Amino acid sequence: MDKHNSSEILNSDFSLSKNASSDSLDSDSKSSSLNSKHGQDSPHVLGDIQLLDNEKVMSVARDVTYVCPFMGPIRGVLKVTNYQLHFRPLDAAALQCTLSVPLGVVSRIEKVGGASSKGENSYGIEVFCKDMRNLRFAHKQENHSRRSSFEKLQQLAFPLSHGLPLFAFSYSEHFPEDGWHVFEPIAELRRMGVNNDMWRITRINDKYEVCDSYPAVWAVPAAANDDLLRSVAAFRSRGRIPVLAWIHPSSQATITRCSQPLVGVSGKRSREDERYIQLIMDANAQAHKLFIMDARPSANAIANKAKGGGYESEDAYQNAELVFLDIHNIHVMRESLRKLKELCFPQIDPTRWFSGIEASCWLKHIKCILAGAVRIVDKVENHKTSVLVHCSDGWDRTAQLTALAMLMLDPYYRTLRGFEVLIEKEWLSFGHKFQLRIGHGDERHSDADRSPVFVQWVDCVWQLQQQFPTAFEFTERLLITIVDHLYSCRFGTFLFNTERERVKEEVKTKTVSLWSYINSRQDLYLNPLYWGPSSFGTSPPSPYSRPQVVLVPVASLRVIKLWKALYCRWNPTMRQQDPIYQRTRELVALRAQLEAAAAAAAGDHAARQHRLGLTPPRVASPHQV
Amino acid sequence: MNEKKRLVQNFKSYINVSPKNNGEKNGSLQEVKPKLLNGELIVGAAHSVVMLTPLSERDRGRLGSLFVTNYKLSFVPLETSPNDEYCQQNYLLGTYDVPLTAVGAVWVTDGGPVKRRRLKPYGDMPGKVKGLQIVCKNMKVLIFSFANSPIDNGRKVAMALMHHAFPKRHDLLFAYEYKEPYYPTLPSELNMFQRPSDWKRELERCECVHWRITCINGTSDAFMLTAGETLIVPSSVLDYNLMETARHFRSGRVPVWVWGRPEGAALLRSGELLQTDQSASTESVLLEQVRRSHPKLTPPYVIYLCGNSYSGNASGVLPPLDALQASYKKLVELCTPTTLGGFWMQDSQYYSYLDSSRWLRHVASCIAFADDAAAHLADNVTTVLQEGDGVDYCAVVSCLTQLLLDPHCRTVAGFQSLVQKEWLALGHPFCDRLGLPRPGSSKETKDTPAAQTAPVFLLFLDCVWQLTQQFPAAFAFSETYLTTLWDCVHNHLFDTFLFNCPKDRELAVGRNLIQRPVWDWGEQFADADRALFHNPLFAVSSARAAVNAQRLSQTPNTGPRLDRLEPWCSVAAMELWSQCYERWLAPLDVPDSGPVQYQIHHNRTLREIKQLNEKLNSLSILSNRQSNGEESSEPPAAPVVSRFFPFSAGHGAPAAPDAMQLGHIDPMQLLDSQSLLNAPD
Repeated sequence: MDKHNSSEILNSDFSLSKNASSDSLDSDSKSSSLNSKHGQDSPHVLGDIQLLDNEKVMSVARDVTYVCPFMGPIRGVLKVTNYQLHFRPLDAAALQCTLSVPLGVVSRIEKVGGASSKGENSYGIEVFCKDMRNLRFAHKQENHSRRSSFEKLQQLAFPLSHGLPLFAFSYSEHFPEDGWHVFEPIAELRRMGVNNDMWRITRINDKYEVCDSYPAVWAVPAAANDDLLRSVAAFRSRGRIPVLAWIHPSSQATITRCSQPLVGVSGKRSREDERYIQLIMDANAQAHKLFIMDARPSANAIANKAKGGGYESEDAYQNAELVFLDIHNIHVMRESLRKLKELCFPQIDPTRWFSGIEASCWLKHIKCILAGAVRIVDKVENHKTSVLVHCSDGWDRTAQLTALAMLMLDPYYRTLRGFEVLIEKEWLSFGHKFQLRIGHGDERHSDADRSPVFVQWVDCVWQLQQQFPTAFEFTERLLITIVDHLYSCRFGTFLFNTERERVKEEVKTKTVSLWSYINSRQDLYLNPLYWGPSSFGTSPPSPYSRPQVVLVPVASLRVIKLWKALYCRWNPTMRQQDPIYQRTRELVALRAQLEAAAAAAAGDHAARQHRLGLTPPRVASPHQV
Repeated sequence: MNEKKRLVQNFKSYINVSPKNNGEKNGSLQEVKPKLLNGELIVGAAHSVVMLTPLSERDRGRLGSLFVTNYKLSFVPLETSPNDEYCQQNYLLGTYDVPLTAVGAVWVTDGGPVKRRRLKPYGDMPGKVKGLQIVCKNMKVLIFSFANSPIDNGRKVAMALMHHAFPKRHDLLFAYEYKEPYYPTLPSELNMFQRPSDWKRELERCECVHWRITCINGTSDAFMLTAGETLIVPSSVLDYNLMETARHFRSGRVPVWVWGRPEGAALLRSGELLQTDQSASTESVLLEQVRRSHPKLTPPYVIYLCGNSYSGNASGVLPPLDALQASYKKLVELCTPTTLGGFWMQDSQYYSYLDSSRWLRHVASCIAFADDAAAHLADNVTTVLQEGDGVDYCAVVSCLTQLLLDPHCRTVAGFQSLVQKEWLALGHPFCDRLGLPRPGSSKETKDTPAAQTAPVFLLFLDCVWQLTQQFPAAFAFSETYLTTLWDCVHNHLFDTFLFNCPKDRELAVGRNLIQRPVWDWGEQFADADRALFHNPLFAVSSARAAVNAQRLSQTPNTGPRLDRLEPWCSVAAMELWSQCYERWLAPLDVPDSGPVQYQIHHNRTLREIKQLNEKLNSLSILSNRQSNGEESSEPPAAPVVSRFFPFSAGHGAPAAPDAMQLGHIDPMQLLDSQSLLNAPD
């Protein structure tokens, strides 16, 4: 039905118009008939470069050919700014192939062909992107335009490697709400009822001296004094001691997170660590047991002993039960997603599709993570038992697991704002190394520290959304926008590795938060099917609300699907033909119009009755007017 | 990892019931009886049978009696549970009943889930039958244990089942015994394509003037023995020429018209050309006639669905029927694990299994062919589909092509008419494909080749489902409708899918078979269940289309309005039809999950819209009635439904959703708000 509209997605449209469309999903709203008014008049914007605040064009190459894997070669103008790579086709008919790619997405740039290259479009540059696509441009040898394009791209896409600042430090657009205030650590702990009898807030890490990759504010067992915390930190890898992630509102069972204990080959023990773990267990009166969920495969955990790490022995930790969740490390995940990219881009080979999905193992890893989170949820919710989660360093798999388990347990995190808080808390404040894993502005594309850990977690969230379509306040569009800006370097949110670095670099004052941008256009992300508890936010609880408090997904490959809307989105033949959300939105909009009309008509009616000196009709139910 | 499912109270362990208790229980057990239809007889029974819950820990199950009648296999639980009422209710079949023709494979077990041995119809029966596993044709798995039953009960019921579920003669099917009178209440829009006037109506609907009706196939000169009496052919072709040409086509399947546009392009289907000396020339002569039936004399475009002698076995062509059957068997294997261990083992290599079944590739190929045909027809080029006997893939692709082009086919009546036309009037051999005995004497089998069973109709339904997924607002029916239709294909009480060709049906009717079309859904389902057959989004899109048509003051009579859907045809765009194939896999059936939530939500919103419309209307006419207060009191609480609703096995839903909540909304009721529908544009 909408093949023409849908091909618009080809260009990632990062900035068709400054405010209205800065991510790859904006053509969604165009294809909706509700918004068709805006959709139809966009072509005059399409193709023109729309500069963001403080964005400057740094290089222009004319007569460049974009070798589109789907539409074939397209001639046009290639511009490079300090934020994006922009390609505008010359032919007005090909304008839907306009490209606008934030340079943060670029992973590496290569020259293709040399002076002696023969054949059409064999001489140019190829841009490899972090978002599952490659862009190939062909230059005319005689124009000598390749060199300047390449050098500008190299410099601007990898500013950190060239001693330049990231674009986020130049960009200063003002939004009505400041997203840096979305997450207030103390307020979030208060929401969970801390301080209470068992847990206290400590500022022992205020200067990031006890643990440089942890936040300044922790919640720890009330019975643990600061000296104990310091000695526990000495026994945990990089000082990442067990601290509170989430507490169950009624049973007081907790999820705590940390890094591996420094057991080593000799099997070292720490009385303080053992006592501290006992205090975590004691803080939950409902159970006499604690589960330690080690995210790694047991073989990896054992291998870590040789490097001084390891895992808690059940002999040393009384009443603790150790479970290995068998989730593989960052290198395995990087390789898995690489295979998936080969499968999805540029062309999908139908004969290899299913076997390729299997061979990439991506969905198996997703299943493993979901299953691990389900086990945590089961212990906390059904057995009222506290769970301690760690992997090696406690910033990759641990963050995946705790954040996912919290999303399943607590409906608050399934609201738009709650989700932002969850990312700020479990990922950013607890030091997931975004800079290392993404490599913002860094040209070392083959760095072994890069890994799609966060994207993998977002995929898990998407799986939950798919399984429970009414449980989330936001749609997959929010998730894709977050993934887009994970790379874009337009916002400060995902820059740097730790809270400490962000404070030092004054990210909150020098850059804009992604949440400022998202919260200023919330309507685009809201799920029309949402029945969750926040639908009774301000108004009295409606009889509709039936919060699904705990989500327990099925961790089976029969239900876990490939997220085509993310991984296959550059392929115009893999887009959703007619997104069901748009249809739902239409219905909801129609209902709202009718409600307004009914209210107005009822008002008119009452007024007329009043003029006639009659008593107004009895108002039937609180739902009328 | 839902092994630790909440235990539903009425599921008790009977594995450890001591034999002594059995004796006592037997007395009371004899009391339960299955509900019998008029003409239905019990032919076998076993008591103190435990129906085990599939894919659960071994000892979960329900105690009751198992009956075999001449119509169904029926399990009657000793104690009823509110969950029994939770799923789709059928007037003719209980929750735990299966029509005998729906029984696929039967296995004897040792009472446990692992060791099993396949029973063959009319084969040997082991001396002891401790348990039975029955895999139904709709992929439901039933597991019974006779460990607590009186001696020999298991064996007797198994013998009765094997004897009656696989009859050797067509007239042993229950449809011949069922004595309940039938009073048709079919809507007039449903075209049954049984009489020449039905075909005339279709020709007129499509406004195709260059084609004519011939009834020669109803005379002694009939050449296309498996089709009905009425055929539509180019006006310029004489009956004599048809008879001549028919000799060169397999099964006499000359190209016949099935659909067309007023602009001239038509869709035809035919059988393969036989390899005779003159076949090529006769084909070109006939295609020339087809060309002359086009007002612009555009030459027709021929699609060889199974490849042809020139192209050989090109990739992308549809497989031979035995390969399709093999593909289906692998799909069944993937969707019918009998143990939880087996379930998780398949899970670890799920995509390999899915890939090796090749099922979705066949689905994708059918849709690709239909898209190709639709593209040509949209360009006003006549398209001829050609395949083997012209009764299998021709029907699939022809139907899909019409669904892609003609919005009428996407309504419920239009879809049912389409099935009547392409599958029944043009003679898809349902008996053969579904594995039923052929009508008439069994001696014929020596000359005629053995019947090939193949799930061609399921392939078609699956393709339609893929389209409904790609275009969620384009079809008037829901996936529940399609799934239910597939279930009904195996319910041999209805005559719709019971014959190989219209002639066989006429002969049977002559022998007092009561015709009972499956389309009369009220025969089986209550309003609440039928409401789920409708797609709520279609109501909105069709109301909008009607409003737009009014606004553009289109004259309503411009033939079939062409509204082409362009589906993605890559196998990567295909999904497994979870509701149809996986609905009995309890671990997946989680409350509040799955796409059914959309439908529930949309239905609700529509109902509120309808109420608001009514309220607006009553306000706008300034009716002074104070009775306003009665409507829209408290909206009822939202129902909790699980993933495979309404086919869920029942996971203790607090309250089954009532009919009002799910009620079907007539698009015309939405027209009240046409001004509002216009507004957002």
